[in-house]
Amino acid sequence: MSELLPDHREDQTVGIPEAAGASPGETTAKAADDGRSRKRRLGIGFWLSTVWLVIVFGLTMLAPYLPFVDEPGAFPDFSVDPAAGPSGSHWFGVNNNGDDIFSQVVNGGRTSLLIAFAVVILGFVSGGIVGMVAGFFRGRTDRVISAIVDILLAFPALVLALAMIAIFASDGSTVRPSMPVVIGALSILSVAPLARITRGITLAFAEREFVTAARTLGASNIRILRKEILPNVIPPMAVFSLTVIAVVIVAEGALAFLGLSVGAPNQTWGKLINDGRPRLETSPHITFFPAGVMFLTILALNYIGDILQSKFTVREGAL
Amino acid sequence: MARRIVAGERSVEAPLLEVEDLSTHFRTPRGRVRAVDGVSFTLERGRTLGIVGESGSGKTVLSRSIMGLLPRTNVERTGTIRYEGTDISEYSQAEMREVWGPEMAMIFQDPMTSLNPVMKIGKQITESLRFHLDMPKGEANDLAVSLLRSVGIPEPAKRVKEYPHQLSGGMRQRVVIAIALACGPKLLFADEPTTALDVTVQAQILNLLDAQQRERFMAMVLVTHDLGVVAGRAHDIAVMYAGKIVEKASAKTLFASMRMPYTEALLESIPKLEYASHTRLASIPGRPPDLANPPKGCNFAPRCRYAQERCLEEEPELQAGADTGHVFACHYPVGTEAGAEALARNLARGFTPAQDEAEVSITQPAGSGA
Amino acid sequence: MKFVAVRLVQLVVVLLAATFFTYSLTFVSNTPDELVDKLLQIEAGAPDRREVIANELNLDDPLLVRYGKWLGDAVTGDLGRSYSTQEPVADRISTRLPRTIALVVYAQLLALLLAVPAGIIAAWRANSLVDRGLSSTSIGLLAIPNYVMAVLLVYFFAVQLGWFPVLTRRDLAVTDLRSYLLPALSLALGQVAVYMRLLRTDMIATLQEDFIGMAKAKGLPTRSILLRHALRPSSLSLVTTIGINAGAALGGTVIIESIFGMPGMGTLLVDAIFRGDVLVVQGVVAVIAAGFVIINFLIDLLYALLDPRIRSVRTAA
Repeated sequence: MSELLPDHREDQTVGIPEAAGASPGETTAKAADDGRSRKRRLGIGFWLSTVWLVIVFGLTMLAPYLPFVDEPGAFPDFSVDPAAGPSGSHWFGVNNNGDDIFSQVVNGGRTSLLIAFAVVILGFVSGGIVGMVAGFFRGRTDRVISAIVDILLAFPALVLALAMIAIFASDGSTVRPSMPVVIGALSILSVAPLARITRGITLAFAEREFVTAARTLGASNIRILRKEILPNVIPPMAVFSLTVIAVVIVAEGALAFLGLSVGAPNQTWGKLINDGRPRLETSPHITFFPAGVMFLTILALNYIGDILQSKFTVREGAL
Repeated sequence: MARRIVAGERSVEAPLLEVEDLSTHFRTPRGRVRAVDGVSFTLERGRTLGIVGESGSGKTVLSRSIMGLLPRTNVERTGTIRYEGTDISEYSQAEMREVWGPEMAMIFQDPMTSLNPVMKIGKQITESLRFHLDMPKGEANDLAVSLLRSVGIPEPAKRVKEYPHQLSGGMRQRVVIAIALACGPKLLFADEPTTALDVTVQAQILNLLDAQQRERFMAMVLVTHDLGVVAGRAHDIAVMYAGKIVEKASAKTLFASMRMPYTEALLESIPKLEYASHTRLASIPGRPPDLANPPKGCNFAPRCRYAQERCLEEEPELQAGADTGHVFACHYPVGTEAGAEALARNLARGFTPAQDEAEVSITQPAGSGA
Repeated sequence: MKFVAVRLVQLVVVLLAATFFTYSLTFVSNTPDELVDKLLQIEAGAPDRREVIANELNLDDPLLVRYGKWLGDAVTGDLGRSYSTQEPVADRISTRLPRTIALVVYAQLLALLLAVPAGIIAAWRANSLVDRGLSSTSIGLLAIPNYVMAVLLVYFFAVQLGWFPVLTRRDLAVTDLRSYLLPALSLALGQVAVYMRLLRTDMIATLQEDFIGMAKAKGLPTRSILLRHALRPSSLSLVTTIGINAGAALGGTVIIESIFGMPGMGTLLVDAIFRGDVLVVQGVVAVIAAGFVIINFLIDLLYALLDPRIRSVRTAA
């Protein structure tokens, strides 16, 4: 109820000291703060972000079937001057090899997103199971798992990823990991944080009455986990996965920048951005288009993730 | 910054503070909340005005409105405020900053939160001294020590270097008072100064305020929910309900011949020594109105045992009472024929027009039965 | 005290686990022979070096013993030999470590320099245009990976305006602030967003407190209230986050150093990875892990010192 009204007590007796509350003015300011207004509607930012993500997702996943997108490794167009920038036939311009950048961005997005999805799924399955087990069974299991998770979390992820990729992919002097290796390394890194989140959510739910109720009806632990806990864990995790996708895109980009992500003919956004660096002065568009697309995608994912997350936690509170 | 005289025509004959038709409305998602709705009063130098009301009556917002300490957004303050004859209603924050401290000061309800926890007490006092009065450090420190002494804090030289959490609640409130009085203001707003304190300490603090006020010939606005607090200490008392002043009189008149049923109810709710033990404490049933949607007619009608149909329709205007300075707003005032009849009618029926039979039956005035 | 000891043990375990993990990965993914082959290749050495290398790496011993020996040497400062440059690993690391540390420190300082005033202003004018603008900017900044930021900065300030060098010198001095600016800024801008929001939240809460109202009612100027009254109580979250971030920032330096060609730990690591110079990789990971551990330990110590209550809350969580 409105914070401007006094403490509603059933019998408003005079003579009882009123609660030491802030003056109405101050609480109005508090109410106007973002937490509340966000709760109310999904603003235009939300919808713009959704539209963008739909576009990106659609274009990248449908890429092989789209006529205006060249396949990776398609024959380059040498007739255009790389320094020219966007034009009618090449919406994002061409790079110094004559490849159409728009197609590259779309294909690169496909790879980047596929890697991200794969990592999210693998990470959630493994991290999720670990987290649920820890949060549900508590006790010694939890302590051991948590200790390991904490250790993993305590380390700068990128360094570990580099080390892993280096070891698994090196074949002498050149390092060009394959997709599975990249996905594998990033997934391993995602297990720890995801396990922690899942554990937290599971902890919150395991205490609820409906779990106890199921138990008294004779349900086994597995059954409870499957039918009671899991359906409740999935929604917040799904929301969280949006943020994770963004993080993985960035991480993969970082690897690509170091030349430690998947190689040609696969493109990723990170690789495209990096490839444009030598030509930054003459043909900045080579870098800026992929960078712009990546930026907008991450922005949209973060934004939607934030909003959905705040909606979720509020609803939790109402329960 | 040296002390600057508030520019303008400062008149010594004009009352210290004149408030005319002051309203403070908050724009909230639920609508416009009329926290203060057309309040007027005058305060002379050296006098104490007690403002009494329940929580939600708007009394805290009132004092902050006069001081100008409201938040910037979604707040509308209208009306006129004159200090020593000068209209300060349109003063900017920068201009008010010169008023706060040397002219007007305020003490808040909770001494625990009124003091900066990470700043030494002495510094909190000398801050305003050095800013407003341009005092050099040494002099300011000495003054701080003597201020602490004058508010009754033992070993002030030692306390000056301490932090708030090292003091008890009563001590802290004394420090708060010292800070407020440091620059010698002519007007002090005390917003529930004793509510957060132990009962034993309350009287001490109130006495301290009294003493300081007399010594400095300072005017004071004492805001409280407790009529008992203002009983011996205020020259004039204003009773607030739902953002309006519903009765105002000199203290003597108020207690002797109150007219507002609300005031009567307030008085009754204070337990008295003469009651037999286990006497049920009288309380005012119901709740204050929703300030965003005030009821038609008198705001108090839903809870008033004198209420009649007229009260539900027509808002009573402030009318003058027999004694000078006594105003009240009621259609069927206490202690008048009309009022007595109204009460009798309600008692006979068992309920007022604001309630129906299913609801709580009206309570008898205290002293007329158990 | 017990809390401190527990934490210390935990962190040492982290250190051991990380180094063991990398160590075993290296030696498990290749058979001993393959490994020696590779290293020979890097060294471009004669085949009779095989024996020497095998001995150096204790390839006859079982894995754990090997690790133990490496660990024993590492603690005394001997991290082995870099096969590509024939220098001791420890030497290579010690020339480059200060530069990386400088980068991290400069980045944090820059971030604070920008974030603290922004946070204060955003909190003071909460929900105003300025605040919303700052919030939007910070959301935008958070969406830009530090490497993309680096490229952007290089484009505008180095390529177009020419104010700063695109790449740093090979003998980069820690005091060469001009060369450090763009790299530090790339790392800092993402942090600015985080710090600003933290400070803003805490400060908005503090500004609601009664003692701020008191300070205002004393007629003190706004600047004084914000800086002297409101800032200190609001900084707790910020200070502790800085500590945590400084540790995590080590990861970011790897990329940034690469981009700017800075001769630091990050480039050393990447270089060693590409060349397959296993002991260097091992050494760098060990040093980074150790740094991490130390920083985390100091933060926890700071926590416990600052507020005993926080200590028990953290262990409960």
